[in-house]
Amino acid sequence: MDLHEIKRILKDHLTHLLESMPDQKDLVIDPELTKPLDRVAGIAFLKEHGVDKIFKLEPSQKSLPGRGKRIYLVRANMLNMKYIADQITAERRLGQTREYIVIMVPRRLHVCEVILENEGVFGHVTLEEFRLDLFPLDTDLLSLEMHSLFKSFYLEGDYTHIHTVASSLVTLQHLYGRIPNVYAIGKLSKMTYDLMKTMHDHEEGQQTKFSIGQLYIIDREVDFVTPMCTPMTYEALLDETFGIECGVIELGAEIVGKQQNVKMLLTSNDPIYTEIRDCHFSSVFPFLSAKAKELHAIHEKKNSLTSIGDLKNFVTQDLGRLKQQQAALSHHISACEHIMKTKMKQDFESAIRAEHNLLEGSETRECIAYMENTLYRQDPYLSSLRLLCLLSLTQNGLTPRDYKTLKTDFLHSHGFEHLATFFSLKKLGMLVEQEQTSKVAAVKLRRSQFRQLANKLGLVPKSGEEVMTKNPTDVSYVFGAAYAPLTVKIVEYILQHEALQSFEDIGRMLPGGIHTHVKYRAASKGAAKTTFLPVGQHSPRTVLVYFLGGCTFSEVAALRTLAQREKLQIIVATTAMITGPSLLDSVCERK
Amino acid sequence: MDADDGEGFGDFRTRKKNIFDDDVSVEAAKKIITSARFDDDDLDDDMEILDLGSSTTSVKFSAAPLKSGGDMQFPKVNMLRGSNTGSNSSLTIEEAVGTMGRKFGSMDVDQMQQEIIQLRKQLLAARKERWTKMPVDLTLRRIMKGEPYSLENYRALEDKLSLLDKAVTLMDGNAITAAVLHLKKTVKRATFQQELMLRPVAANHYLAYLRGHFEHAELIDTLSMLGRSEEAAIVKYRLACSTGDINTKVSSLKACLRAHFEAEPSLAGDASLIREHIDLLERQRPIEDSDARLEAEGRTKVFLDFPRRFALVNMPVTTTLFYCCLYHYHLQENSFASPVSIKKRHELPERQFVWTAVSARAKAKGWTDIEQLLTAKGWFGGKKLKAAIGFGKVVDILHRFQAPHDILAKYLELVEDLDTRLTLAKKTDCKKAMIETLVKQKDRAGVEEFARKYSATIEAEYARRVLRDEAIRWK
Repeated sequence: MDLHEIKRILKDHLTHLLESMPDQKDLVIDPELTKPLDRVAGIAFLKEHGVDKIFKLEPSQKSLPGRGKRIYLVRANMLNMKYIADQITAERRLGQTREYIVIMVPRRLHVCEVILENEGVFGHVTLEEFRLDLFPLDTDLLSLEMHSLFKSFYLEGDYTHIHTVASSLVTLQHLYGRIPNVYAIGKLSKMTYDLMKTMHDHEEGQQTKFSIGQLYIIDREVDFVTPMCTPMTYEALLDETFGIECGVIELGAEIVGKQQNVKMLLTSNDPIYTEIRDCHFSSVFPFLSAKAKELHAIHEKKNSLTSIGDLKNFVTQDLGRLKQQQAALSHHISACEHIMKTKMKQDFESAIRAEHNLLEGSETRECIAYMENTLYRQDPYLSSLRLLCLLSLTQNGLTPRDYKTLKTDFLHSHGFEHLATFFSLKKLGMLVEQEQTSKVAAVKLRRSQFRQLANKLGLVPKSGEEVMTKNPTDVSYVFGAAYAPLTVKIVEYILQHEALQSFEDIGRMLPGGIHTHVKYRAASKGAAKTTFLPVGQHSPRTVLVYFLGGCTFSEVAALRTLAQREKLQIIVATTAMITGPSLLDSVCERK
Repeated sequence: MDADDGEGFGDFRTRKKNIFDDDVSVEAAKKIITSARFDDDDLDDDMEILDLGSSTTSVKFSAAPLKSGGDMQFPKVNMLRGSNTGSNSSLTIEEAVGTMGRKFGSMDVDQMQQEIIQLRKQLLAARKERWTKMPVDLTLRRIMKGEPYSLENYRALEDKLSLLDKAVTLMDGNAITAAVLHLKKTVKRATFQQELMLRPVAANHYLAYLRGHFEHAELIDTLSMLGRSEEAAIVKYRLACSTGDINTKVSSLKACLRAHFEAEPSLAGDASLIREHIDLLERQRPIEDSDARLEAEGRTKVFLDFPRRFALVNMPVTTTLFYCCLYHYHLQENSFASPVSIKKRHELPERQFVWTAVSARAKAKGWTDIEQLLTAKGWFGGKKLKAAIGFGKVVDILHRFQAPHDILAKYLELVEDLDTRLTLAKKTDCKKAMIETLVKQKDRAGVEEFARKYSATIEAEYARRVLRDEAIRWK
């Protein structure tokens, strides 16, 4: 299956939009979209289609210079519309007349049109939409990179983004055929599935050939524990330390020891990266040093070159590759060093010990004392908050006494403004007080019993159980053999118990449950009923796992391991790539 | 034509008429079109209209509108009216057909004229439909597919609610927001609120709209009306916090406390935290004023030794405590900047106080202050060093602030666990403490190794002396 087909279609659509305004024009782009657009099209592509200057949409810029034709390419939200309206109004007041096209991503929204109308610029703009939904970050990874979904759906109960997710699934199935077997896990997953079905029902002609056999839609609400755990694989650590945005990482000049920052694209095109991305961090450094020696050996070869033919071979073949790999290698080594330095500074050992104890459900008092210490000494607030959430999630909430003490300590050390942060986390069910005394309707008590699930699915390997971190087959290696991500374990469980029609036993323990829609069975007994036909022999073993509300690189690594072990092809799709801290930060009160 | 055209029905018609008035030239019409406001339905047609102006000779145009003729495309209705009245503008399709007539047989012309008649009928029907309401399901499907739609024909409350409820069932958020805003715009406030209370999803969408539109007052009112008083209180609090001016901020916080947190018994816990917040700000204000002045004058030693890196106002309690321990450690308790007074007001745990005070005094190199702080009176007036955070942490902090070795050694001795003590001695490079700890552990091999490793130091001599001491019993 080639995911690049998706990119081609997006490019065609974009071409059409850009060409709809003939001649040269300027492009004003939402900062949030620059990176996705880079991955989908690139500057050269924009220039080819008549884009002259490119500006970022910034509220500070009251008006812009440039040509008489301008395209705005922005996420569809009210604030962006206000900025655009302000610029247009200011420019018109200056007596400048322009042609404006506003392209909303991923769709035109009623509220946006209302804003343009209220601001009095509706008549001066042409509205379009660019259905940028899922785009490939790698050969097995698709993302909407729509970070606002988490806050908007889970915290504010806004359904607007469900349409985008559902329609991204519809688009995907236009390309790769209708997926016969669907497992919707959690409330939002069920809603997405239903909307997707409605959209399908409005279409004529039913596809029956499929290249993807199974779809798992997983609601983040089902598993907040996983993002709260400290990652151990290289890629996940890179994301948490430096931030990977749309597959691109930026290393500071001081880290790589150069004049300028270095930007690296992290995909399976990089042979070194492919080997280490999903490795446990402890085995990354030995690998890199072995690789360095290997490269050195190739380099040494130049001294033993005897014939001109050898020399030519060396220069044309080895040298170029060598240089490229050398640069990549040195960047990875610098990144590794920086990660280690950061971890040492943060009292890493104690933090991990507390985390593991929480997952096992042991030494709770000690963990709480440790959390208090991190608050007294004003450790970065996201790391303290992460542990607090983990405590709440694994223990079904904090006792009223602990809740009060830890909340007060937190506010004392990081500002009373975080009162609002605690409210949001309570509403999300991530950090709650046991036995709610306040009568707030919005409070969702977590029905999910972490302990029960941990037992049922084997999330926490028994102490002493050896998990080979170097050649992993158990997905818990991604968290140093201390915890196997719940989301991945659910997928594993369903895969292994496919014959079962329902997964009530597990579904009962998950908020929202599991909804199964199976239309195709490889086994002979039900074959006559189905009209679905696989395109190739691998199609039934091709699996799409779609995370709603975000997915971590730890989960991607675990799914890759699972795919290898179970001989499946797994494609991961997500509404955004996230880390624990980025997830918390999105609902935190900032000063 | 004009009779059922409904010309006086509102600006929609009037505006359209202006564009296509007989005395408006094509050029002017184009200008108006490009600069005029259009209703949603018309947007798709902008380009076509422009094309028409610039290529009237193309006969294709009689076919183009025909295809979509039944689709309620209004600008084309007006174009046809132009043709009907035979205006002097060059926009008429009849003329367009006429100029190209030579190339076609009369059959073609007939056919086209018939098409025009048929088209006219269709458009007439479509125009009537424009003013009759479409089934709710169809409208919702159009919204979902991103096609033009109009809600203005849903005038009965039942229709509006049915639109809203079906949008919720469909789960298209865009449609839900559109429906809820339509309801809000067209019914009286009491009715709107009443219906909103029955529909939590719709309410969430309305609230999201208010948040995105920065309509704070209405947001808080609506939340309160919905019984979500804690959320209303938090929104108000967040708003008060974002106030820049410190005096305004304090009074906004007080107002918020009175109106929301104190009014709701279940929010008593948060109310007391907000009282703390207010008191903290009121404490910080005079300290900041006075310290900023002293620092500017440049005569106070402590501000010269440790220039202030930030203004105190709006800093958290812990930071404020550290600040006051650094600059105002010895003040009396009745002073604003007194660390003890901060500890009392915010009921800080002893461990937190010790932690922060030791750190701040270590930074100021106030070693005697630390000793005093950690000195506890015994039962019979005897003095004893005691640390709520454990001496291991004390050593950690002192080491971080580069305390001299004799100070470190003093506290290292008090670390009870010998393994921890040894680790800390190594970490802080306190050689004497290392030997003493090894002796306590009766670890002769350890001492021997030390003597080898640090053979050139004074402490190595001490180690050798210890090794010769026959009074020591080794493991």
